[in-house]
Amino acid sequence: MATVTTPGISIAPPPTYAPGKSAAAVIWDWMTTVDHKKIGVMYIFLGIIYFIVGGVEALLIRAQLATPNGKVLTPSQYDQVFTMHATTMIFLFIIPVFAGFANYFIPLMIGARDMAFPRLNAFGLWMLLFGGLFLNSSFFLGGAPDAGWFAYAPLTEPAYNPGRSMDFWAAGLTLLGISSIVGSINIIVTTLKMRCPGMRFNTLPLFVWTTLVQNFLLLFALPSLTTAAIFLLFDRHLGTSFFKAENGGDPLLWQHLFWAFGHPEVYILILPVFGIISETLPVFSRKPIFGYIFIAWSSVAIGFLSFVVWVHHMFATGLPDVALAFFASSTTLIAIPTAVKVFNWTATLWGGSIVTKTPLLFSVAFLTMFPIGGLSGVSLAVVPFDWQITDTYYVVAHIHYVFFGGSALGILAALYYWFPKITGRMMSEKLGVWNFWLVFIGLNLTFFPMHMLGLLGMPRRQWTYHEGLGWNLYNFVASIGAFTIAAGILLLIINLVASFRSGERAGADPWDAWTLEWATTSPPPEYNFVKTPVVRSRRPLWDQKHPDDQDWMRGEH
Amino acid sequence: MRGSRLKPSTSRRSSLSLILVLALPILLSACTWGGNHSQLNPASEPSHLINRIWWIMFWMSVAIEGLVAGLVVLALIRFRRKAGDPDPVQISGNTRIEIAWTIAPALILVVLLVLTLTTMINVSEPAGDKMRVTVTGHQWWWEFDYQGMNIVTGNEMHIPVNEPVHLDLRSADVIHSFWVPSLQGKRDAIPGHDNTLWISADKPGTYRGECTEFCGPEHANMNFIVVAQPRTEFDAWVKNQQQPAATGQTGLEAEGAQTILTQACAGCHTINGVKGFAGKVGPNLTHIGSRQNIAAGTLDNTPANLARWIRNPQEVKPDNKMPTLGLDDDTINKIVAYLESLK
Ligand code: HEC
Ligand SMILES: [Cu+2]
Ligand SMILES: [Cu+2]
Repeated sequence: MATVTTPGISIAPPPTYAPGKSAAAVIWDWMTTVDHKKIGVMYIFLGIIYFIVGGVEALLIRAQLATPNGKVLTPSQYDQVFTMHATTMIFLFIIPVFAGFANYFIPLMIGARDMAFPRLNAFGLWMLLFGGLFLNSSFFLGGAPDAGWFAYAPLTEPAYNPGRSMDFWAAGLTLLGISSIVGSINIIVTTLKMRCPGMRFNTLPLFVWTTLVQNFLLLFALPSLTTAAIFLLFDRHLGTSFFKAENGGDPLLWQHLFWAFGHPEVYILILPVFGIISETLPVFSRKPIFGYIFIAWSSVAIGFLSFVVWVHHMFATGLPDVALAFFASSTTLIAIPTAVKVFNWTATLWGGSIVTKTPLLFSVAFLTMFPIGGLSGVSLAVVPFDWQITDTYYVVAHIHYVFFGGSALGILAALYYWFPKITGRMMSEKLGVWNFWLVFIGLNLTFFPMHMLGLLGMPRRQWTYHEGLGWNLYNFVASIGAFTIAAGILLLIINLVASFRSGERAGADPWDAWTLEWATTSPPPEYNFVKTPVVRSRRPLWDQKHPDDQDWMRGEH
Repeated sequence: MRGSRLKPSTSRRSSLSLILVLALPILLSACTWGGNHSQLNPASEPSHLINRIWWIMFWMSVAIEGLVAGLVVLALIRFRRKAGDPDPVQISGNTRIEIAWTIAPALILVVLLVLTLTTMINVSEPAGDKMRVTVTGHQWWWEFDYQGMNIVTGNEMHIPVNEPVHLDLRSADVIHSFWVPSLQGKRDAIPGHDNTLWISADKPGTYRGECTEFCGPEHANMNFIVVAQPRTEFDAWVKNQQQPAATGQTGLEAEGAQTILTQACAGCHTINGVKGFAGKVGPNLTHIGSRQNIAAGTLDNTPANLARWIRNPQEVKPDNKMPTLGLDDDTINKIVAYLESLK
């Protein structure tokens, strides 16, 4: 029989935050670092800052809409705020935070010492910072983008949008796109080339799997957006007519280019969370993930299918019925791999020995909230129903159950799960539980009534609404909910800061987990592992902790 | 080698509160089922058909979400770790179960897809001669041009009950979307595209419609109404609309008819029968006195509101395309009297 493998658990003391360095030296160190962990932390930090910015924008929206004929914002202010809310949450919060987790944890999880291209990695981060600042500087330079994050032409053409704001949008997203593409090449190459001995595709942690798929999607979807943005800049400055109907261009070309990016984008914003949940649920249920193969390959299936469903955003544009039928079918199809995942996660809990710590609370909340978004998504594939409901608050409810009930809850689970590894300290459970309930209740108060608003005929993206339409109550409840979420997020921030300064020491492996990032100190040393780990199964630390009952001995991977 | 942190936490989870949170809005919604602008309140054949799939999907979704959430909550109750519990059996999958729960949703989805396709066919435009109306979306109002009937109205469309009407959707500027939830699904009006739609109403009534594609600052105030009338009433309406504008009769109205000629209004508005009044920027005012609303549903059409509108349209509907002209109250009163007489 082969020798028992033991990943090297480093006993070296954590080297970061070493005393004796001046503040300037520390800052210079972070600014010039090419260490994947520091870059990862900065991505996450930036993402959280922008989460707050986007959250404040959301609160402004809900304040304006809390009552009919609201007076908090003027129409043009409202348009800037709702456009920047979506743009910020998508491009400056969710994507960067995912990039941060991927940067920090993929090398650790695959037993590598760094990313494949450390310098490119730093470049991606600084591009993101620059792109985000550029985009937001528009608020002070004549007005922020105000044509929606989807920026439908011809509303973005100079004839209807003469200011500079859409230039900021198009150029800003192009910069952010470069940052993302650089990042995804790095993550793909790292995953394909830097795995430690024994780490085969069949033993790859699921977070790495889904993030790999996500980065392929980024790589192939973003060019479509960049193309559209550059065409728009040409239309605006060089007098071309890509999207101007009066000169033979076509506004629908924009929509096709945008959604050819935009739909894969939806999965870009959720796939890593599928991975996060597939890491946390087993650890806190004390048993392996149910149906590893199915979760991994259904992610690949989702990846492919996500490129052939974009027209479901355009069912009301008057395309021929045959085209609609095709895209209705493909959209229906993509629900299957998603359903399979949900069942597998539920089965992972079932028969386990469930430890109800905060990471689990958020994971379980994801598991119950995300399907609500998934189910309403299926209803949007039903073309005639979509004709009724598209561009109403029903769709706002749908995307927020996916992005908040899905992505954001998953990110919160990941923060609570990995914070001890990153900082070496535990987060407060007490604050965590309060944080959880406020966010969980708040999100349902905010987004559930929006289904009703849509069914009762309230279009989205309106800066105000009239009295007497039966919308007042739902809007008011939604606004209360938004401020409840904000209170929860405030607790999160307090928890992060307080725990960073004085949380209980975590040790290398506080959750008794199984993947390689827990096989080194918290925080890990710059070189990650004292010696390169060798793995034989999907749960190397289980094997190490149970020498007589290793997974591979039972014929498991 | 289990860490001490894995002892169960003592926070109490109440599955009841979860259920309450989810159910509350549903209960509340039972009280307000939507007025004349809700797809839950259908008033035509297509919207009835669509409403039917909605309820099928709704109950299907409730069942599936109930199943998943129920199992999760049950698992949390039954399998919650207690101090000293041993590790559970390390099960990592079961191919037969996987196949079963791949096929089960697939079957449900096939049923849904069949429903989708058949409903698409069932709600398509019936053949035969119909009244045809060109609907043009403008930033931020709607124009209805009854083809070959010499009627142009703004923000208010009349149709005969139980007769399908064909619509040609056009845009004068950016993309708008035409939606009357109780009567029909929406369709975009896109520059350069000749989209069509059809509507009908199976009972008389006033149905609210709205623009549902973001079209700039006043997207919120781009509403309209569809008035469905029995055939005879509709014919009477047609006859009246085909008349040129009334000429001012009494003192104030007559003065208004004169005053309005000296103002900028004619450059933007049309009044049939008044020489020089042929502007196309704003709604046709020939029968403005007969209409229920002003400025795409922003105000009810009363003399006071009309005066308010003409005095300061930018205050009433910020950023709209009618400038505040700075008229004095005397002029405004005369113009209002005249416009309100244009029944
Ligand atoms: C620069 C063009 C312009 C001028 C000048 C102008 N209007 Fe308007 N008017 C508009 C537009 C555009 C609208 C539609 C506004 C909206 O609902 O967004 C409108 C709307 C109206 C309406 C409401 C119509 C309806 O069906 O809802 C009335 C009444 C009206 N104008 C009267 C006047 C009068 C009276 C004058 C002259 C004193 C005048 N307008 C001058 C452009 C103009
Ligand atoms: Cu519009
Ligand atoms: Cu609109």
